[in-house]
Amino acid sequence: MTNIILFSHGQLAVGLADSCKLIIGENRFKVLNILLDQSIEQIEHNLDNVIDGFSKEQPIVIVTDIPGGSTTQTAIKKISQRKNVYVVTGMNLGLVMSLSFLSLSNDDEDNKNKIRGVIEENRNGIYLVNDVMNLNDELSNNDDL
Amino acid sequence: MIEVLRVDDRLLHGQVAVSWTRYFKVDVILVANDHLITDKDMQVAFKLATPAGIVLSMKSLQGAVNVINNPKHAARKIMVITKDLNDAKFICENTKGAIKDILLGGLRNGEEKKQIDMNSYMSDQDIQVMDELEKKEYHIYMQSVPTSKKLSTKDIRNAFNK
Repeated sequence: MTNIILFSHGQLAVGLADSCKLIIGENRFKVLNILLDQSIEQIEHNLDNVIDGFSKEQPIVIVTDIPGGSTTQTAIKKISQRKNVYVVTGMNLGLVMSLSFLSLSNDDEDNKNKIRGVIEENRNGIYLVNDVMNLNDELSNNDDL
Repeated sequence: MIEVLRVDDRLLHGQVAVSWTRYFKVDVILVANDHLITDKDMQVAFKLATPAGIVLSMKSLQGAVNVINNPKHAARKIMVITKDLNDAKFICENTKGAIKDILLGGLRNGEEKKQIDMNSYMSDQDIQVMDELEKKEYHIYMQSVPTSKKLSTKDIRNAFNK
């Protein structure tokens, strides 16, 4: 199980954590949302507090909602400030569940490869479902899979 | 090898596709349902629900029995899914001990059903089939996701008779 901070504008992170709980049960998520009236300093301070909730050496994945938002802009600063911080943007349910199943270590390169793999797998999970409707496989009762 | 038979009225959905396949490290999901084989929408939905690297096999009940009984799949790690206990019983009775564990969960409410777990309900008839299968030495339990509480048949009966 991965230490994850879900970081969003408004309630997205809270809702996503709730959805994850329904599907995978317990997890190690912390959530943080930013509100319109918060200053950048306040947002960063709140993020630091959440990060400090994890023990120092443990890897943390911060998942943000959109690349250009204040969420990602704030999270970016943590990559150089703390060891083993990874920032992933493009929050969605499948991505977060897959990330939560990773076992990260102190091997930075290995961690990055694992996270890249999860991103690639979940990128393939976005498509126009209409396009895959014309399924022509004939199902049979034979003993092949 | 059959890792587990899951009884779930939604068949393949989030909890099963994501959590249980990972928990049992299966490489084949075998959905056994007579309606499914004529329902294209359901087939597409299940294809989308199947995680990368896992083979999805959608069969009628008899088709699933044929797959399970075929020795060429012995090296596979298979999770079988049926929508109710009657279908599970059919599979068990026709596969000569290939099934050992029956995992109940996601049994939606209906007429004359009583609540057993947060999202599982059973009828008197369900309990009878469960008891029958248990007498034949199948290991039966109820659990919605791997981290939630596991109920034994005794717990299930207690909840039912409350």
